[in-house]
Amino acid sequence: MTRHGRRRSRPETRPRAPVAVVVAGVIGAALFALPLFGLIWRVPWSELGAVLGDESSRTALRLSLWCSLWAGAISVLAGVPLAWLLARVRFRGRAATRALCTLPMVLPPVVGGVALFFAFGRRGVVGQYLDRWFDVRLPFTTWGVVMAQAFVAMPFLILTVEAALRQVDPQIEDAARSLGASPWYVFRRVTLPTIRPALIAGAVLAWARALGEFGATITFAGSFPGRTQTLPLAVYLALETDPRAALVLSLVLVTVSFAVLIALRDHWFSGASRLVDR
Amino acid sequence: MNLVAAASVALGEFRLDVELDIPRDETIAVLGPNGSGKTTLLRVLAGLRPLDAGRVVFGDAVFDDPQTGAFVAPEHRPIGVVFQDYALFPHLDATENVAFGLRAHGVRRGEARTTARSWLHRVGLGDHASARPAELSGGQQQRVALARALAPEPHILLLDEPLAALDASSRSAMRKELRTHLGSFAGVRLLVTHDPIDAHMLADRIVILEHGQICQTGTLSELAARPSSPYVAELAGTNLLTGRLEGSMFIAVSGVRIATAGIQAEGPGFLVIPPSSIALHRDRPSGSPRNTWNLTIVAINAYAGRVRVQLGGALELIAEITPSATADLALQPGQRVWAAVKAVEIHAQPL
Repeated sequence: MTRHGRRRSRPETRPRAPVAVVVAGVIGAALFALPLFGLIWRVPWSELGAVLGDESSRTALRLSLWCSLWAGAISVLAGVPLAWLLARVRFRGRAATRALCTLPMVLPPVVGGVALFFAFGRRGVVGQYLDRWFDVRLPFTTWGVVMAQAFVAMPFLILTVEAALRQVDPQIEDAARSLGASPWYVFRRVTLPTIRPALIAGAVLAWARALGEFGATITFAGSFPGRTQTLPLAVYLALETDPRAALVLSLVLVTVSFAVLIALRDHWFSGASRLVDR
Repeated sequence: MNLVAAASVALGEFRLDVELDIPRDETIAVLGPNGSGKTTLLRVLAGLRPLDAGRVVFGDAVFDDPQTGAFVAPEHRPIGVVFQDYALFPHLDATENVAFGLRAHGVRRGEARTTARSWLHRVGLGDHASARPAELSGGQQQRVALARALAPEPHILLLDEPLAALDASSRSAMRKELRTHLGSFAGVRLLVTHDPIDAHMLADRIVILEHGQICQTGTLSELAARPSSPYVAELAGTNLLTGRLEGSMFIAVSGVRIATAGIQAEGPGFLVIPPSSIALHRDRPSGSPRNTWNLTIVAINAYAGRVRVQLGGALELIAEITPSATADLALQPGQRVWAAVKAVEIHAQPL
């Protein structure tokens, strides 16, 4: 947006790009474009219907949707309050808590899966009690997939929502209190609507991350068709047995990712303009 | 029901220590520069900042008393606050903004909206009922903020720099409107401002705040006549006259005509004459000043190496002169003197 504005008002300040920068930039862009090109080039378009109609693909797709939607929902339900606490309440260890909550973004997902396994496995620190007292077993189950996905996806929501909460003018919330609104009423009627664009963006981002989750899922939940084998897992396994199916399923994931990016771009733009209006 | 506060709050290095007793039906202006603790005081009264020590009591209700642990949350205090920069809800239209307080108090949606619309009518925004704050001008946002604060019918109205965010032209119009609304509000009214003219025009009593302490209380003319410190003299110790403008001529309430410079306007206006710009003479000065008046010395007050001479008669003015000038002129209360002031020293504005 700034770039557009500047171009319109002061075209003379647009810098001329040095050749070396252009070359490096093109190489960088090629790194993203070429694999995508290779994928689309080799997609067996004639078999698209057959692969997508295949029962095992549909099972993986259905499972992926179910798990990622649950993971997205859990991210919102737990992540929004967490983001609110991180943004609004001063407590000891807040910086450490924030680092902890965003750790999965930089942690190798496999390591996350291992950590989940040793925490919630049948012999795990927490898992043994879940098993003994509640008869709940998470590893190698569908809920295990949801958990692994939420573990990896929720930080995206927390980060987005917390940043938005910090942008909200605290006077607006004070004004609501002075008008007779309880803290909970203020949260529902003022805070949440004000950060709505960021909340939607964070939720979609988290959902998309959950949909693409691979490492933590296969480590913590394994790869059982119909139970824990999500779309990315199916793609990986199909690569050895049925590369054409792998290509088609990959195309599905690429399409979803692109759709998410386009949808988010619109949301981020409307969100930004709303902030400017204010 | 008085609002009585003995407020003590520490914010890092800064300390606010203030005692106030505000009766119902009186408008108090807390006047002070940025950082004097005005906004903190307002937040304490609203319950948005708990006290560290002291007490805030309204009638029989203890709002805040750290000693007993009593604390009434802001949403349970009968207050209306107009915030600096208005703090309107950006996602709600004008009607919903004004209805918010009623809804929070449990009033049904339809009824709250009807009441909100009638409030918007009262502040002259009947045509903008469904406009979002971003679509409204500063003055219009101010009116929405005022209507929003008044709609739940509070007993205490608190205004934080209500005119500071407005440009000069809408400012004087809004000041007049605000005066009307404050006059028709039956309850405790406190406004916080850094502008002595706003304080004088809107309030019955001015409280001067410096570094978190009250240094003087009174009307503007009292403060101008007997400032307790150079700080008060600087901030509030000026002559302010109301009257009518006819071109560049100002006609005071008493009928005295005062020549001004740099303004051409018709209708009600006000005039600011800095006390140090008024020269005193025993005999009628011959020469340039067009504004000379024969006045009576009412009182002479010395403060911090300066002398303030309170003048009465056709005009009530304060002149500030040096002690040596006082001695040279042998000024005495009851004596008649000539006061002279150049037109260029006079600042006039339409009201």
